[in-house]
Amino acid sequence: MIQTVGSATPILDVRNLTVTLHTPKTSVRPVDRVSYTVNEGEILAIVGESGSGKTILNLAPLGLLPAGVDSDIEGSVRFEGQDVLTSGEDKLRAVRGGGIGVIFQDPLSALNPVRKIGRQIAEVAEEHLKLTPRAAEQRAGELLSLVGLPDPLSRLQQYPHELSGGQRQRVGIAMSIAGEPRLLIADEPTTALDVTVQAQIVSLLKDLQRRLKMAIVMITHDIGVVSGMATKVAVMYAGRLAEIGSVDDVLTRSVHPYTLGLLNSVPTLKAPIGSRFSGLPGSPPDLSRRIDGCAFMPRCSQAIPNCERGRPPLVHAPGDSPEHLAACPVVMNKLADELA
Amino acid sequence: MKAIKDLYKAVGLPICFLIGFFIFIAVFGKYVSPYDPNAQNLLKASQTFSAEHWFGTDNLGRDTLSRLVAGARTTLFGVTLVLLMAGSVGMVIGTISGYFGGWLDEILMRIIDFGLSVPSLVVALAIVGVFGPDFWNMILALAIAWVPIYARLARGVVAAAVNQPYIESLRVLGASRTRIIVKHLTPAALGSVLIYASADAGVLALNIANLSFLGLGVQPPQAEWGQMLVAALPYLEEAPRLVILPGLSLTIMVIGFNLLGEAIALAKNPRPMSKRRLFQRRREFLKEIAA
Amino acid sequence: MMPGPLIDIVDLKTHFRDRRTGAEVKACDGVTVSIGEGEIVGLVGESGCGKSTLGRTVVGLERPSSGKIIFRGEDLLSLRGRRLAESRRQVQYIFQDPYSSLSTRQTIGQAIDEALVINGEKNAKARQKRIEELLAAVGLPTQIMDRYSREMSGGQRQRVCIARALAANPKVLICDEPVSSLDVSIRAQIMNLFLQLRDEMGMACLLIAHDLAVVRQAAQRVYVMYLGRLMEIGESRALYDRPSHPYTQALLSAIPDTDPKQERVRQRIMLNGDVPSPVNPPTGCRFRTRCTAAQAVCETPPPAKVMGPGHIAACHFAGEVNLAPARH
Repeated sequence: MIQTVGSATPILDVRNLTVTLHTPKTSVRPVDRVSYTVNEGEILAIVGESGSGKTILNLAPLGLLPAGVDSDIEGSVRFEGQDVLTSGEDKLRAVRGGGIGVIFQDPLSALNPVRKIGRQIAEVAEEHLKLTPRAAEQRAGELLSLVGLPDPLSRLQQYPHELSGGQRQRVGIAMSIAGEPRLLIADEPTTALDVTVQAQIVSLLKDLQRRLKMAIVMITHDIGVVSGMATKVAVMYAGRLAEIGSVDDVLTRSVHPYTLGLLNSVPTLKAPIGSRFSGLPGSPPDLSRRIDGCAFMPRCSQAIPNCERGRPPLVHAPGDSPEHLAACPVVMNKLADELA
Repeated sequence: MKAIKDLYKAVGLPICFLIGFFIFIAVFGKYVSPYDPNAQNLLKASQTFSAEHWFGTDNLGRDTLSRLVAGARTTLFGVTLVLLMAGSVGMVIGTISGYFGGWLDEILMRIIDFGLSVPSLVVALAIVGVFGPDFWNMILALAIAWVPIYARLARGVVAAAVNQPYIESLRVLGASRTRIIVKHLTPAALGSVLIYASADAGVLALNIANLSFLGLGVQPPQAEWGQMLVAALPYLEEAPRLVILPGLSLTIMVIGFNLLGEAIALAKNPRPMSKRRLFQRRREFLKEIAA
Repeated sequence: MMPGPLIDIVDLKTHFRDRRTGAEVKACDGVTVSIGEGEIVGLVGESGCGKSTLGRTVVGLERPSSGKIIFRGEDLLSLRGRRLAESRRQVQYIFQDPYSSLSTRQTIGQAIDEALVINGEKNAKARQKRIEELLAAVGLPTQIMDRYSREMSGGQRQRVCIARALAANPKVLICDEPVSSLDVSIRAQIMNLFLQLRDEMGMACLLIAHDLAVVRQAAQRVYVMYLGRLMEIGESRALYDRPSHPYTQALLSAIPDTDPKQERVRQRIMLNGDVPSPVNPPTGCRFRTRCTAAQAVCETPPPAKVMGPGHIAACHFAGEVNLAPARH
């Protein structure tokens, strides 16, 4: 597992993270030995479709799984050097919202419908910045203005249902940065929004990141958002890391067949009108069962016999970037050819 | 059949035994009772526990055990009857109200709200006052008092379902109103109604006993626990078992119904697993993955 | 191209009354759309523009306030009883969420069987055969008949919904965001199915979506809708190559490029503010409150300017205004 040469401690260092969820009827393993790092100032996009484990990956270590689900978490998740998995609930609470901010997918679910917006944001600031209620309220107003809401002072007195989807998401963002976090985890923040509003939110997040010097982990399935924002991309499939590297490497010099297939599935304005759509056949595997070999093999057009022999390890992709890795025996062969 | 297997899996063996026991008493009680519950034998009056009369006899020489069993049958019969009547009428009203909405819904629901606000006892008094105290009048009174809650329940389920895509797609396919209501909405409402009724049965049993205790329901000589209780009060000192036993029976039945209701509710909303189950699950999974 | 429209939706208006406030929501406020036989027509717009309301009104899930829906020469809104039911059945609907479109109490086979019964097939054997045919037509194995929807993936469920809609032998499918809730890599399967149905069965489609790239590739003609009215209509090529209405231009500009190098440098049109409420849409051109090129004249109703054959834009400055640089 490679770290950027010459950097300080990464803000987030995930090593061999494995999450197993148990219900009375079944168990699933949505995250299976995943490792990556996020350095200061980086924007890591974790890309995957349903069942890839991308959301659990980020919420489980923070204790944000839904109630009633028993989980086993193995491995380590270090935030600023400290392992979040072994910290007690108190430390965890200080980190949640304080060191780490979270933006949820559905802005409506992150906001309490019966409390005023100003109060909700101020609370976060009070808790994590130790401000007085008055100072916190003022900070809330500043944050609303920072996220681009017109007329912030009157917004403070409003309730969530009085705002549009895009506005609510901005409020959600304001709440997530109220504690001045060093790391922001954004779970599909633009999925529920229209395309014109999406563009605004992406622009806002980039701007905030620059100003507040935060690192961001962006969970998404939208390649457009990734290309617009990310510096680093991790592609997840069936709970495993398929490919990871800089955004240019993963999006324009992809090597893993799943990444290639996924990128190919995104309809562009360049496709001939009336042509057939490209995608991937079949569907992702059942994560409650044992997966032999590469999880993507059944759907992969480049599968070779080696793909059945145990889970493929992450190897360097051919090319110049030492941090561009992919878990694929086909890639391993290409690498061997290159070195030969 | 499948439903019974599902029930067993959902609520566990003890509850199934309980339900089986109730059904057994209700259906076969008459044949299992050692004596005719109404047969008086003044020669053997007020006897205590004996080999001949396991629970003794009451002041008129009637076998207490047989009367307890008969009382059980009366209560079960009454509960079933009321739930059937109130449930079906309530479901019809609720389904129509939920499906059509609009002013029909408003009017029906206001009537239902009025019904909900009047306590069952008052309804019983009113009916009995007009028609006289009698088992059937009591059943009628309770059924009327119980309709509103089931109407509300059914209406809630139906009103929510009606806007769901799966109902709308049936409309677009050309399904008739009847088909949608009978084949799709009613079963949905029925589910909620049955769950509620299982917990409600206990309350209803108590109400029947209350009304009979007050003399407004089952009349002597028909055996019913509440009525047996009030009839045995004068004999409290000399034969306390005549008071205790009906009370105990009622308690056990109500607890039984409540357990049934809880078990069904639990089956629908599973709680987090016990540690033991969790360990078991974990072991099974690791075995599956490693295999 | 085609012998006259299969379905002609004329100046359709569907207004709702908000229960809480009593205000009138002009969701769909005068829209004219026509679909020819075997044609896939796209209707695009963002949330709240009324495109879903239009689709729902056409299939009878909403009651229109005024307008006509002319299907095979007859106005559906003037028909009653049996005639109405027969005609309505030929226009079917595909919902966005395939899971909630199927009853959890029925197996797939039972659901499709019911659709066939409703549509008059009395013979059980004939129905069984038809179910197998329909499943084959959507690319599903016959074993799936005994499964429940919860045991299937999103893509499979959507295919089941399509098979069920086909059971009514429709001429047109109104599809409301049929792939938005599906994984990106699965969408192709469903979109290709629509193309296949058009090619093999001559099935017409109204594709209601917000994903312009998908609509462009699938539809022959596209309608762009905003706040209850149409902004621009035209054939896909013309509309996407030479968007003449500022809103269309803004929508196209908002589509991200999957190449980060391109994405980093390209210019994007930013719109002012938020979408106004459909209770009180702006007078004249509805888009003027967010349009950076709006002038005083925009407060008067915009003319329908013809930009080319079948290409019309409702803008005072259509063809003259260009809010974005060219995209290639």
